Amino acid sequence: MSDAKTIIELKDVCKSFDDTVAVENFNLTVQKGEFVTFLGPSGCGKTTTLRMIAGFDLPTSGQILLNGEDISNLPPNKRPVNTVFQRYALFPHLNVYENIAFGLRLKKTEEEFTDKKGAKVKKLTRLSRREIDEKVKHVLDIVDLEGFEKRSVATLSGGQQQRVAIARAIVNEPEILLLDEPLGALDLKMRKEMQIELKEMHKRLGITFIYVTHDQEEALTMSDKIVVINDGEIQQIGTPTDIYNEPVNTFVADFIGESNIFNGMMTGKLKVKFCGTEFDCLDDYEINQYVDVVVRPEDIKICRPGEGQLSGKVLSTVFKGVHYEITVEVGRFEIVIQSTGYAAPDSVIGMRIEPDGIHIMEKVYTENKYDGVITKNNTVKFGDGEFECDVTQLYPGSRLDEEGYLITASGEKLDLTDTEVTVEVGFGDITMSDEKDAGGVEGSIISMI
Amino acid sequence: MTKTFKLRFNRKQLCIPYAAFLILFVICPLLVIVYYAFTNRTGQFTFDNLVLFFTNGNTLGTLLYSLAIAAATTAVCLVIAYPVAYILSRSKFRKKYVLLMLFVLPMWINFTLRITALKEILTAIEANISAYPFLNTVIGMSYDFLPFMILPLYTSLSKLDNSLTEAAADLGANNFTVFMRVILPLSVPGIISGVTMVLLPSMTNYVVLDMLYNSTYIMGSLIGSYFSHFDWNNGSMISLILLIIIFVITLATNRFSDNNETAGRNIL
Repeated sequence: MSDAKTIIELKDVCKSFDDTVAVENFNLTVQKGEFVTFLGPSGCGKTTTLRMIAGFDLPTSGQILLNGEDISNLPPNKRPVNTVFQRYALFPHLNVYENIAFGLRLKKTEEEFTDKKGAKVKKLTRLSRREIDEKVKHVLDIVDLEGFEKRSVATLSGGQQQRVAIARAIVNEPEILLLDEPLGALDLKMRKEMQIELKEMHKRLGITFIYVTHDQEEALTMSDKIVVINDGEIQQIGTPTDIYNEPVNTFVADFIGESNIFNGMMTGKLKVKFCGTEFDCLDDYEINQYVDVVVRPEDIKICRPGEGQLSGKVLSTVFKGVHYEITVEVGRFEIVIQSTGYAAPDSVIGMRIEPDGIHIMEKVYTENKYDGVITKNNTVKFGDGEFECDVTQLYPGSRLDEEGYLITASGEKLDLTDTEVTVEVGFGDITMSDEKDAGGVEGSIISMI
Repeated sequence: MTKTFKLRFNRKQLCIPYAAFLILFVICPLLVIVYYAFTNRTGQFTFDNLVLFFTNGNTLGTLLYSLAIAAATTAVCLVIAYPVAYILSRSKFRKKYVLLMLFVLPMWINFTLRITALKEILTAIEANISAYPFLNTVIGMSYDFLPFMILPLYTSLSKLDNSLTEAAADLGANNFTVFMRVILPLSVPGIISGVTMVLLPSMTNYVVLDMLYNSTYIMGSLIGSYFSHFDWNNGSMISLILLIIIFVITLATNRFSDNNETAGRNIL
């Protein structure tokens, strides 16, 4: 959308409670009319972020801009934002009508009057009884609760209370509607219905929705944009399809849908090796790089033993309604498969994975890895220093001759000068020295854990 | 079958001591009071005592005076207790209980001891304490009954869900409006039970008054003075009337708190 307008922007927002950091460097822009979902496990900071947008918590640092204006320190009652609370928070002493009219009765609108002298005067007026009546009626119609005006909120079912809570928020025509796990207390069927209704409401009203949930399915069904959060940090922002099909790291892959995650290594161009087998893939990474490989359970097809790329013994088969969840033992690994076909436990099956079912992501560093160059003296240069190394390990069975040329096992003479190599250094293999000149590389310590 | 039968039997047995206590010390004395109230000194049935109560200006005046003292005491307690209970219910875990204990602590000290101490303090301030009987009685009773007001208020305020005040603020209410339209209406049950617990005993309690060297009478001391002159009949009648007044007040507050879902709004 090129004409989309940014409605709210979070800039480097941080929030800590006493010593614990709840939200860290949160950067997000939301377009007008979008349905954005904050998705993450409980305690990841998604609700805290929502509360900062609503104004219940103030950010420790950073800015929240609404239509370009800084609202970071405004109290909640001054923000054109309304919230639907997790447990609805309906006022128990008021009936349905009064609950919904609560915000309207406090609202003041600016109107222009002509006073006796003919000058125009701006005056703040409250909404008239008729205006409030009309608005409440209209919003009750939207949430499908006509005729419930006089009912006490305590006599309503969970789903009805939910609708009242939504009505109470949207009747004020907020610029942004914040929803804090609004469907958490409902049963599965009701939740599905409300999901569809909320989505339709969003389309009809054109209000920006910011929705918080830990339910990945809910997020995938409803959102235009998903923000995956873990440990107070944004992991990935993207459309549901992007997030599901192209997770950026194993956390996202694991949290969104079920996944098999393997340690793998790139063995060639568009080739990756995991589970002891080489597969074709679509992601291009450097050869010999260690990677995480994510395969969705539904992307593994069952075939006859020997026909697929993998074969293994079925450990268990569980009926899940639409599909079977089959756990297969392949060598040292366990693989989970979702399939509509049945596989008997203890039988041996073959498995096929198509290239587009294999998602490869860069490994979070488990060792130091550098790009280096081999020098004339058969030392390797990387970082800022030159290090002695055994270059014969590059070619099995090779040796160095007197002039410094490498003789391979088959007798070929190679000059390795300026060859680019990948250098790996295990964490345990680095010794630190206080004397600056003693080591090959100088550095300052960035962090120590 | 035998097991359930046995359990039932046991349960019934459990309330025998209380029933015996109730009959011996509540119902029987009550019947005696009713008997005395409607007889004269010779034991004949009469309405004279009832007539005397409403024709004697002294007793009616005392009744009004008692009501005024009770109302003033309740109002003072409410004004002092509400902010305290509110702060206590909103404060963080640890210091909350220390504060709450500080307010309940006077209840651990003997009642007469407390009033005697209060008397000394008042004497130091006012020099002649018999000059301000109404004020001193209200001070003494407020001092005595304050914890009974704080506790129910604290209970009902701490039950109040924080998300309700947040919701009100979210809908555009400033702090004052949040208090008037959400916190106050929702604490009405606490206010009612606090008021009941202070208003009723302060109508009959005369020990405070007596100990503060008071020349005036309230209902409790009036009954006491009749009994000390061996006028059982008139004393009983006044007791009976006081009982009925208290019963009516209790009934009224109970009905009020039952309907508090709607009444909460009406009070504003």
